[in-house]
Amino acid sequence: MISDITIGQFMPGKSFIHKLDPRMKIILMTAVIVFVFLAKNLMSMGAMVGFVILSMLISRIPLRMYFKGLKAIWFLVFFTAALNMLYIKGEHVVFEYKSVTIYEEALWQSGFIAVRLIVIVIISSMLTYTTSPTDLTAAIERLLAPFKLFRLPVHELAMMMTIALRFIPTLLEETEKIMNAQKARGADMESGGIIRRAKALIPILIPLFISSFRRAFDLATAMDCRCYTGGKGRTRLNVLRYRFRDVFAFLLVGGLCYGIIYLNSLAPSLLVR
Amino acid sequence: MAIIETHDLRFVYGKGTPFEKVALDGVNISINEGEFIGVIGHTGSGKSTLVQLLNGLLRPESGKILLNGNDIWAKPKKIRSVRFEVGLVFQYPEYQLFEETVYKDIAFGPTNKGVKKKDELDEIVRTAAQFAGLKESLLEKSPFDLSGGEKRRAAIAGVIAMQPKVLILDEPTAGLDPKGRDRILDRIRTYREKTGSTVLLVSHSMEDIARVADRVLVMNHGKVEMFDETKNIFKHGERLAQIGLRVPQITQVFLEMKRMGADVRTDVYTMEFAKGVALDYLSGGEKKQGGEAE
Repeated sequence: MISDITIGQFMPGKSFIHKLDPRMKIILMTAVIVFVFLAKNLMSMGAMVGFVILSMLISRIPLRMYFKGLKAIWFLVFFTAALNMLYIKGEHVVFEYKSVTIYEEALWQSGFIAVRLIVIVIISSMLTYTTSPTDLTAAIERLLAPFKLFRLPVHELAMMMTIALRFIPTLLEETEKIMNAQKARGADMESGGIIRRAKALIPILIPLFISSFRRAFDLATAMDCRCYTGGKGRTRLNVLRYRFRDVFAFLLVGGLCYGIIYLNSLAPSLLVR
Repeated sequence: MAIIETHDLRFVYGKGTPFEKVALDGVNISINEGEFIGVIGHTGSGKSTLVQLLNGLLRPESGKILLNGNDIWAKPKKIRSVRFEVGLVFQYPEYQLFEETVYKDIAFGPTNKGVKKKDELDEIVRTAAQFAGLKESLLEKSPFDLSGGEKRRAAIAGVIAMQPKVLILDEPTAGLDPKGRDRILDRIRTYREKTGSTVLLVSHSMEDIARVADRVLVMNHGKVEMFDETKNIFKHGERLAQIGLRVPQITQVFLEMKRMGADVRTDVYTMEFAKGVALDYLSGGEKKQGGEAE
């Protein structure tokens, strides 16, 4: 069903990761993603994977939720890994059959690429699973604040993001309603070629567009009625504050990053180039 | 002869998730051809689920739905044909309009049904528009330029145009002003009289139901509470109040009069009938009101 989509789904909880300051979470998540690309040998990659598994356990999010997030990219992971395996040339041949030659270097390379992709997806879904959309946008607004100097409308961007996230479930519900109404009029959405199927979307998309515009106007009026005038002089109900646990998490990830660089220096790189 | 029958119908939302909720359980009803059925029940009583089951938009968890004696889910691939037989007008149907003109929008259903000939389609569209009370001049307009009531009637015409044997309307008068609401009810009544179709009307308005329905189906927490002739249903004022419903206001007036000591009958549920009863009472002719209810 359409309501199974889990984009940006937040799962409330009380774990250490849930309680971290969302700004810190975004910063640390970026750091982890950068460093998964810097891990070059088995030791450093092992440390990284260990860290990710540990944080998955600490987050207390059911593991199957992470697998659900991975479902969408299995194909991508498999495809990039396979391409790398076939095209990268090295010195040690492990497998040869007719024109297909697979080198040991290629195996390592594609394994590393697969792990990197999986880690990226797990870490970013961890961020959305453990952070409420409001916290997330508040954090983005604060982190982007320096760009106000360059006249970037940071507050407006954050508000747009909040509204967009807020309306995902509403729109899904609306889509389902309209789909049912058109099905009741005999619309056929399950059969036919690609052109017929695309055409079958028109009776759904047009009413959806129109109701979205209507909703947008209503929302704008409602915001006007509450004297919303944009970001200037606006204060927050819950001010974000770094706490001891944020410092602790920072040190932890800092340690991981240092560890990866140190472990990289202990053994030669397994990657090509 | 029964056109629709259900046997032990059961439906569960969110099966296998923590949000599992039984929406319908043990529903056994039988609706005769040409009947006008009113469906009432509090919010969440399973009315909307029931009507979506009847036209095959939802698939029952267990139990059977018979249309003309045939199980509608016997061939799941043919379920689309059931939707042409049992036309369903959703709540706020005006939000499903999408074509450039009202004419094309009304033609959407019959085209899906497979009506190909231009003149045949034209005939169908114009008849449907007439039944819904849309002026010819509106047909070439964009549906988005119509007024709220007109949009609603255009959407109803879109379902009527499929020429269903059973027409189900889910709260067709919700959110309309009294005039728009009377107009739609009148149109539905005329449509039923002229075509002899079976009609199911879901409504929260006891007045609407009292005015048009032959029989009333009362739903409560996913079960059938009562299913009887309209006049018998409104005798159970107390029970209706217990399950979050009430009798029509006019019936309340007469019940209250009775309680205050006036000797009047209490099976009054339409304005026209109430007028006669009240006049009789005022002229002191209590004896004369022994006659049958209309």
